[in-house]
Amino acid sequence: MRQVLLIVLLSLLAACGLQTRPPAPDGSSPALTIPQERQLVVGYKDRANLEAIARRVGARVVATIPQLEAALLELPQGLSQAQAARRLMAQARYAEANRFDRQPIPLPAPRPTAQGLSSQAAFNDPLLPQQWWLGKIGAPDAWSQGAVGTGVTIGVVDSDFDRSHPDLCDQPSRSRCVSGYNAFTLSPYAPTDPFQGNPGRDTHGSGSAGMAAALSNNGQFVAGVAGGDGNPASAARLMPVTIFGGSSGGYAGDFNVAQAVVWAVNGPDGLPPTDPGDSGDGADILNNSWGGGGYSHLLKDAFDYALLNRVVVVASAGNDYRDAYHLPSGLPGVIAVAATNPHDEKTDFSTYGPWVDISAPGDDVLTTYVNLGSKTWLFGGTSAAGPVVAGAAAAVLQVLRDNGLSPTPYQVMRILQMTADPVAGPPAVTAGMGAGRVNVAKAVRLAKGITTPAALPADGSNITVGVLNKAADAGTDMLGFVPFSSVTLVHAATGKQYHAQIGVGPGALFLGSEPGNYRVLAGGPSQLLLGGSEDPQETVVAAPAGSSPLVILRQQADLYETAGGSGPARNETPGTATDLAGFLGTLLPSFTLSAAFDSNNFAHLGLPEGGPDVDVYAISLAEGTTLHLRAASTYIGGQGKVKLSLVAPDQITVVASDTEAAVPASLSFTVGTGQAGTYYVKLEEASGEQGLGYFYRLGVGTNASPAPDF
Amino acid sequence: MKLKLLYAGLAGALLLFGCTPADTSPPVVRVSQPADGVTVNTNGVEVRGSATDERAVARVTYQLNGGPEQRVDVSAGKQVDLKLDVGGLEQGNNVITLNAYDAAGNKGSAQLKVKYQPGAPSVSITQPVAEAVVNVASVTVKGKATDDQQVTRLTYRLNGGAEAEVAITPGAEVDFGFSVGGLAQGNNVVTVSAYDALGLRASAEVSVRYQPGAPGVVITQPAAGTTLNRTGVNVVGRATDDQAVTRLTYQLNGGAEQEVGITAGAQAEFSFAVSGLREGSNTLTVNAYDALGLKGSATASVVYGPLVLTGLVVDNNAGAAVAGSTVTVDGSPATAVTDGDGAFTLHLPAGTYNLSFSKPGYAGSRVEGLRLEADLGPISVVQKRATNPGLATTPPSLSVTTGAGGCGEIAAGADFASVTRAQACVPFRITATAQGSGNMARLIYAGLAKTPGSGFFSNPRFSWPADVNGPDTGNRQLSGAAVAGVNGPTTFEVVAYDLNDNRVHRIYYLDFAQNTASPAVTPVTAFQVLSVTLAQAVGFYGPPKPTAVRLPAASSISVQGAPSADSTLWVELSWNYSGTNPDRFEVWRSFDGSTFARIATLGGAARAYNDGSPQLAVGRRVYYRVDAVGSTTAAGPVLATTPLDRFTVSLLSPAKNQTGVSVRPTFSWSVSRVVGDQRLFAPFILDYPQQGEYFIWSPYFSTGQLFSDADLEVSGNTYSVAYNADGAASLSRLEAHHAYSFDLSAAAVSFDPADPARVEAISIAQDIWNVFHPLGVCNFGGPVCTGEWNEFVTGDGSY
Repeated sequence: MRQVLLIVLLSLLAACGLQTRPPAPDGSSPALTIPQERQLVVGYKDRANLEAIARRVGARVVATIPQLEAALLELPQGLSQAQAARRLMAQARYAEANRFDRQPIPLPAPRPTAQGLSSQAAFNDPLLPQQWWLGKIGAPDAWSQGAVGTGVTIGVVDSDFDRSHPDLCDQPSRSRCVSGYNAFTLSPYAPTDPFQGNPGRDTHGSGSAGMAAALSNNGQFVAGVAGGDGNPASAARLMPVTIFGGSSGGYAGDFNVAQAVVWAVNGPDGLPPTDPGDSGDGADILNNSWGGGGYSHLLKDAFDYALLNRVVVVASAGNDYRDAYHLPSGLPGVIAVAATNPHDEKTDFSTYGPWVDISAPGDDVLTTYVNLGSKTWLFGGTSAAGPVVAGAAAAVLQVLRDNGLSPTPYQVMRILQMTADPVAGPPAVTAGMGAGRVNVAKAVRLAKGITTPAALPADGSNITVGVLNKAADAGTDMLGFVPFSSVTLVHAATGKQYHAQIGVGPGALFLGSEPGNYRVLAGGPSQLLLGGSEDPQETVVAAPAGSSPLVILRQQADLYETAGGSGPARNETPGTATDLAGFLGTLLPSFTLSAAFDSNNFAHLGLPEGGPDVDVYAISLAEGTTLHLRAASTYIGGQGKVKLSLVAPDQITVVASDTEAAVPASLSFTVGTGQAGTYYVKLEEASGEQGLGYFYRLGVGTNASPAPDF
Repeated sequence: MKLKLLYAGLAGALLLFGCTPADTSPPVVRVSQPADGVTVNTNGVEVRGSATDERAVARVTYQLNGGPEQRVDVSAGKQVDLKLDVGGLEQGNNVITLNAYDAAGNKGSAQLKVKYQPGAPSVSITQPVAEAVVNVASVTVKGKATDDQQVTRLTYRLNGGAEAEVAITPGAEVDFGFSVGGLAQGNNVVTVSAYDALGLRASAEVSVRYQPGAPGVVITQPAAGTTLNRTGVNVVGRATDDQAVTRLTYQLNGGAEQEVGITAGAQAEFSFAVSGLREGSNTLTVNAYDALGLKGSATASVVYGPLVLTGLVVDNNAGAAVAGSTVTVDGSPATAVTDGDGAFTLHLPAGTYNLSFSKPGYAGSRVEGLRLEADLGPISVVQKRATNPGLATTPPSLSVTTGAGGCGEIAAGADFASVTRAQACVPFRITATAQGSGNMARLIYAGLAKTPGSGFFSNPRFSWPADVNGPDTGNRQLSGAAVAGVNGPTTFEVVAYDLNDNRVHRIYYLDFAQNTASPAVTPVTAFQVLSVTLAQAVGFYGPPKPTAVRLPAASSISVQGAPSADSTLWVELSWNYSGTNPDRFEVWRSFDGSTFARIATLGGAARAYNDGSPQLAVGRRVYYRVDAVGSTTAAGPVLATTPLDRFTVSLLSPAKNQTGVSVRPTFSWSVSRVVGDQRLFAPFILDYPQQGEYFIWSPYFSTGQLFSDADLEVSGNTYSVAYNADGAASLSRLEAHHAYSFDLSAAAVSFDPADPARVEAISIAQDIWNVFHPLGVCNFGGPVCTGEWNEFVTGDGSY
């Protein structure tokens, strides 16, 4: 079941090769040239749906990421992102701004803190004695066990790191550095290409890369966790994934970053790891020392893509000082890393909380700088702690692969967690530092003893939560899923919470969740985006280790209410009817749609509330076409009694009508000669009632029986 | 086994047939203890064994050395265990014979050879220990003597003299203890001998040195390194001797011995006055003598200084006082320890001094080149905590030269100490060398007319990140804005930090001249003074965002401070000036409102200043004035502030990670203490983390509203407000099964008693949204990042 489900999920997210565009003449991508307020990121189901979406808001499709079924639109003048997003609700899997406000987790203000002596003398990097953090995590012991990151590729998702620095890439061949991707130009580049950005300004990536894997035992500068044993071929490979820098030193925007993540997972050959032709040139680990800002479907989909392809995703927990949630490090499946000081206490600036997975040193840690000045610096922040864990993951991965094993990202995280050392401090704080401070020596030792798949730690569970419309027949409904609902999972034993938002389609994925039983709390439909009556749902799910349970809940929602016209208006009259073809794209000969009698919809958009809710759908019919309609509420478990009418193209004449009784309301109509045109399907609740429970299903058949047979 | 059965069977068979054959087999005797041929040191020995007979052993006897048979009491039986004491052994070889008889008179024997060799005694001396030294003429000797029979006699000899008897109770173990008197000065040997009844003897020796003791002297006052502002001092202490102190004298600075009257005795207390201390270091010596003419001494160094140097040691600019830090002065015994306020006082002669500060757990701090020409202070000393005990606490050593020279005929590459004057600029080059292995230089600062460091307090100044750029600044220069407003005698100051936070602060004194426009001047306008207390000891900073703090009292302050630094309490000054900029602004400060001291000189373009002095304190009123100086001086108005105490908040409900929360919740929180005249709160409810981190309810960002006590439910230190109390929330109620975040910006303000519309002080408990101050310290802004933030999940919406 698990295998099948994963393949299904993967196939939903994968497709042909990444669609690349030639770089714009000035070297930067459209996302960087189109004004930010005119950009909208949407999730789509298929090409036809994407075209319908674009038509709906009069937008131009700028670029797509087929593996994530995401597209970047350029909106027309005068249409705000919020307005466009509302119009596209339900039609698109999600619609959100292309955010540019994410940041590297910046160095905390240079607070004078101290370093300590490290104890080892095994490797000959001259500044090793000043790298207290390597001794603290037991790196020399891991090196002496031969775990130095061999054969593992670490993607550094950050500003570019300085590939001319001899302690990052061996000079002149730079053989331990592999091709990377520039999210500003949307094109790959070679290790020998110039610095992608401004080395005087974009120094962050060199710190991240160095912490993870500065070349070790090469007689120069500093050492890194997975930097090899002196021979560059033994070091982890570094892949730059440049998302900060560009011309202004900023962030490339969520859409370009998602593309970059997909590229990094696939590698230069463009094939995902599951493709039989894949050359294995993708990243094994992604380090993300950046974040902040709100929830993004697109970024979650991008990280899910990596996780489903067995890429370990590490992210810094943020420098927010407080016990507070952080994105994207808090996303399910991502290893969130907080920062410790030489006393193994939480640094004052590190965010912490029950969603943090593990901690690592991140205070005044000496590592590589760009190739300027002393070429080393005191890096800091959870930006520095994250790559320590990425390097430790590389060491563990090397050992497990040597043992012929292929662990999941969750299992790699578990090995690091099971061997972590305690963090010092008051319990209220240390409880929010994950399993403790990483100890790579112990992790490697444990990994060495794992020689069979059965000996790997129990795998996490992958929970999928989807919300279907209460009135929907999953097999025939054109838009059966309710989007934008919030989902919280609460682990029954630990109380740990996971949060996500549902888009349309496979639902919300909670990859790499701690095994156990969960309460599933689904809120919605989203009052701000969809309105209508609230229909919160709750259930429980058992998610033992390695399982992939699917949870389907049902909520009442009406996704069609404002699909008429250009401004927010109810589809109460033929003049403001929901244009089915415009809304849904190509209509099948028979299909159903699910909606509700509820005029609370979109109340906060200023639409008038109260009064009976009438829904009108427009459908274009040719001469000789016979239209069959069927509609019911009580018949499918609702509380309403549907009155179904068909109105002529003159928007006034009712040509047929029926009311639900013991059986659904139904009618048929054949378009006579000269009577072709737009007809209007009008649904009313026979007693004028509405609200929660008054959902209905409409079946439409064009020269066919209306589906389903209900 | 088989044989036994056979016999038994046979015997049984015989019995069966009523046939009793004659008994011809003798008993068998076996000896189990002691082993044959053993040697013992007592004249008796316990013999054990057994006698067995197929019918029964009837009688057992023993013989010693073939003597008459002695009966052994046994019970008849087939097997008889034997246990008997055989005494009267002769010295040398003995033979013990055991005989067992059965009823038929058959006899079985066993023989045992035992050698009796009585032992000599042994003696060990436990006290005194070998080579002991005593300072009286007698010694107690203790030990133990043992013998296999008895120790019957104990004697001792002193230095080979006559044997003297020691009374003992004879016994196999004798513990002895006796006194030996009449020790000679120098080495003595005491020999102890033990004898037993046979006259055998053992001896042991111990050597003891009798060295009559010299006196000892302890000076309790003055403490070593005391500095004094007068030329006389009281000397208090005690002299002791093993016999008696008979005479006491003192010397000042190695001069002639002066007699001090004492009462002779084993302990002699003394207290006497010494006058005539010279400027600087003085050595006081106190000598005690005993009857033998032996002498003991103690010295104490004191410093007489007509000038007073005071200082305040803090762990950060405007941070917490460092109590218990020891101050030492290069080349002088002078020392002091900071008190609970971090304050120290030294009395020193005029001169130039290097001071070092040390305290366990703290980095080292050093002030070099401090010139003392008149009473001075309090100087501010920063001594940060050391975060790693593995690194040295010695501050970096500095090399400061004139770099490329110039600026008024300053030679290039010279020691900066040679500079006496500079014209319009200051050339320099600094190298900071960190001490101890694993250490490195981190930051180097340089400034004119100020102590350089964090930008918030000392901009403009030169700063150099040594971790990236190396410990050598290369040739640099202070000029332009960095020297604006300075004219006349001033200081060039260098501060450097290393990895362990060790700090060195060096001061050079020079005359500085630059052209001045000397325009006519007017007083500053729009003068503002605000004391800011933050609940967090903040680190260095991010760029500021100007904002307006709007208060229900309808007064508004625009706070546009320069970037901040590591401080919890400072006072911000700002002003406007119309017309041509003056040559300089001078900032004056007073703690009583009448006596003002100049604390800063700023260039004519300055419009703001931040005072982070350690002299600022919660509850201590402080007054400021900014004068414009050009061709004349225009004094500015005086404004005062009393800094507020720090307080924090606890977010009570909804509780962190609580689920099942009402969709119309009441938010409540408490403050750790009630501070100031008015408390101000800005609650925020964010649709985070499931949605876009936007505000579902934020009265402050919607309408600028802040809640104070009058707007809230208040119970003691606890406040509460209902969701959407102002009606401006995006949703009239929260959504069900939805995760939200509750955040709160909280501050307290006080108003100027002379002008209630003016906010004179603010204390910020937590604020990440820059509601109360533009300082950006947090990841995404905000002056106080620490504090609480509660994520919660609503219930099913039915309540």
